[in-house]
Amino acid sequence: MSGAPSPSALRSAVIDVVGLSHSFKGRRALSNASFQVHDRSLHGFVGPNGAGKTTSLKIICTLLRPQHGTVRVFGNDVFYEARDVRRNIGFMPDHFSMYRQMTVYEYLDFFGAAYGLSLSRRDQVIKDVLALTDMDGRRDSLISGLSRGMQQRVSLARVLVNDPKLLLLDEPASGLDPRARIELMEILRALRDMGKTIFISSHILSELAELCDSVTIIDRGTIKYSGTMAELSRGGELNPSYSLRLANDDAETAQKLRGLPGVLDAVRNNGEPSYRVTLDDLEATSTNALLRGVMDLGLSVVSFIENKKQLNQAFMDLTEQGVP
Amino acid sequence: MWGPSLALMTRSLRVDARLLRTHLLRAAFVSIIFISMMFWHLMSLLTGAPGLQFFSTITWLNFVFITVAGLSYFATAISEEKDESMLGLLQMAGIGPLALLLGKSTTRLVTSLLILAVQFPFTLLAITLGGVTMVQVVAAYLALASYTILLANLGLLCSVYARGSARAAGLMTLLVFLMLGVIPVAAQAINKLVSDGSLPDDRLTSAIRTVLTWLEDASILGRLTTILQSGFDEAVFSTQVAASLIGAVGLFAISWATFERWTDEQAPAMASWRDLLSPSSSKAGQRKPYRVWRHPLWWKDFHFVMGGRRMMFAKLILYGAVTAIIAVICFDKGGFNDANRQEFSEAVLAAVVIIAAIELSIYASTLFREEVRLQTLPMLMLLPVSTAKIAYSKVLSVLPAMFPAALFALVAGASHVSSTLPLLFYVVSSIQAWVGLAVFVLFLHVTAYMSLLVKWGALPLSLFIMYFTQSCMVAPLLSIFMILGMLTNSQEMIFIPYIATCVIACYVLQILIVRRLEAVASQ
Repeated sequence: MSGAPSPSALRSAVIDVVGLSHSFKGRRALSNASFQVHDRSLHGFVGPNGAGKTTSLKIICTLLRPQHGTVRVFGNDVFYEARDVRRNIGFMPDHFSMYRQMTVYEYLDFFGAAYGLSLSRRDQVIKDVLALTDMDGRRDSLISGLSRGMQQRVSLARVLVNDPKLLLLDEPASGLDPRARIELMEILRALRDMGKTIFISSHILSELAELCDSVTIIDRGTIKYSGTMAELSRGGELNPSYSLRLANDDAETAQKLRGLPGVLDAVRNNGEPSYRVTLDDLEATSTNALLRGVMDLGLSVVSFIENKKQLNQAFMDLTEQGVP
Repeated sequence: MWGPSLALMTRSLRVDARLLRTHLLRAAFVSIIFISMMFWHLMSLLTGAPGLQFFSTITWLNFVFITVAGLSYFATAISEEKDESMLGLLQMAGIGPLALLLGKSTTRLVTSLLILAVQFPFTLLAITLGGVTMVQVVAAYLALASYTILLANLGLLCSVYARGSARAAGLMTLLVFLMLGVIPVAAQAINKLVSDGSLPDDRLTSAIRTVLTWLEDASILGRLTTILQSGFDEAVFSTQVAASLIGAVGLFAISWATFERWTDEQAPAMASWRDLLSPSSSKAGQRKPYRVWRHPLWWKDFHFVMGGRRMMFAKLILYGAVTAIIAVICFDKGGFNDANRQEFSEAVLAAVVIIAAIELSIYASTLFREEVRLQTLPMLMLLPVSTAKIAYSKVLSVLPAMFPAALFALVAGASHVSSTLPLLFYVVSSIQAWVGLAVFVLFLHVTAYMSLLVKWGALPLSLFIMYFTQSCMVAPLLSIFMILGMLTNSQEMIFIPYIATCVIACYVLQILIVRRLEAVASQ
């Protein structure tokens, strides 16, 4: 990675986990886990079943007392300043925990009142969250009569009632059909755009890869990776690299490419006129400038693709096989 | 058929044998016997026939234990498989209805009978204390064993019939209440009405009396009362033993015959009592929302745990009906004179206290349990207030539901103020009344805590715990306090330590409840 701090690193850490360890009846669920989640980011939390995701989430949202290490949310300790933490968070668990005999409106009104919102404020907030989750047409419906996808939306609306700055979502898309899943992701995007920080645990890597700014990969209680998606996609390499495929080349093409401004290295792949071009991130070389340089050399470009490591590939590389 | 049955039974017995709690339970019963024996040995200095008194304590303790086991342990034999949607899989594995019934229920029955068997040699020591004979011991254990077999099969039928374990336990509670409570009371009431001349002794009444008398003879309550009388010298086999065994076989046969019908997972679900208590809704699954009160937890629990307006209306009718019946009885002869009004006032107050106590017991068992059942505790625990405040708010939410009780207590008091005020003053200044209140409040605490530990049957389990502590732990302590009281010539000396113990126990239970709530929320 370049020496210049990324925009997310410049932002303050909303969640700061340091040396977190936790065991259940002698079985270690978390082992010296440390990671940060930055303000106004959409942070994915990925790991196989039993990796320690839900335990971490429960500790962060103050439901579980950490045994070792510290966890701070907005600078407040999750154990000693639990009430301050709770005011700023909204937690959606991985199971449907709802008062199913209530109507949608009653459910949201109840939690609004429980968070101390005034009557008029509650009306406005409920109207807003129902509109955001596209549930305004079902305000008088009984929760028990709603589909799983709709119940998930109501659950998300409940999380938003107290206008939390941080949303903690544990497998929000599990059990949803493709449409409901896509719609949920749209809502999460909208929430991020509204300035919320979202910490989302999920198994659906493709959607997380599209959605998240940063990610933490956990396996068997140990953090395997925590950082930006951009860093992860570079596969641990500091400098961005591209695959450049040309219509034709000669013996000096590689040398010519290395001579372009901002290019650190250019290596020809065996047998075809294709090059792996590594850029110097310090120079902040734009891809347009690189392509312009290539064109100026009189080379004909067939394809130009950034070398990205997909999240699922990174996940497979970083996590171990087998049941923890 | 025997292969699958034996496989299920062997597995269950092996699992049971490996569990520490099985052996702890058996050891606990033996310990109770020794503690009681020590106490009655000491008491033999003061009273006669301590062996019989000791044996009575143990016998009634066993009776309560078996009844409680019936309400939860026996009633969930099949329904727990329904809860886990495992019945279909078991049937696919080639386990037929008979094999399932035998495999699931016989293990529980054997486990319970083993608890009785393990005590038997130790209980024989009662004979050495005097006042009890070998025949009495054998007859009592035979009666208890047959009662266990009857309850196990009644529980089996309930678990086959009900859709889930909670409903099975509820149905079992109702049937046991009918069997042990309603039949003896009905028999006594009819006999009294006939002897008073209020009811003609015609053919129908005579037939009803004959049936009720036979049911009383077949009842465990009557049989144990007879056995535990001094000088008992009847045959150890009785109508109760025969009726229980025949009844058990009949119930098992019904369970087998109706198994397919009631365990069909595709059959439409029956309405639950919860559905009846929940606010009404249209067929489209919509309802005009209720507005949340200033205390949201009060609002939620009033509408969705305590039945809301419908239940309030039903309770007003119930209290009203009880008051009307008492009014008819009291004012039937002599009209609205002062003595009748006083009698009416006291009777209504007593009825209100009894019904309100039952109401509070039910609320104590459901208030926290509902949050566990719906998995909504994490949501409540994340509110920016302490767990204790959430718990106390929920407890206070019982207040609106107690409005009908308060209203009719007021009606009763207002109907004869001149006697109610002295009565109230007497109750407030009576140390015994405070003892009763302390024990009841402790019972509510135990029930609330148990409801967080067990899935079903918190109420009967709490009754058992209270009975156990009362008969085996508190009685010896109370004897010491009585000696102190006699030495200091002070009644308070007897009861104040007792009340203080209850208060301390309540405080400890409150801490345990809060911890348990946090633990459940984090699971």
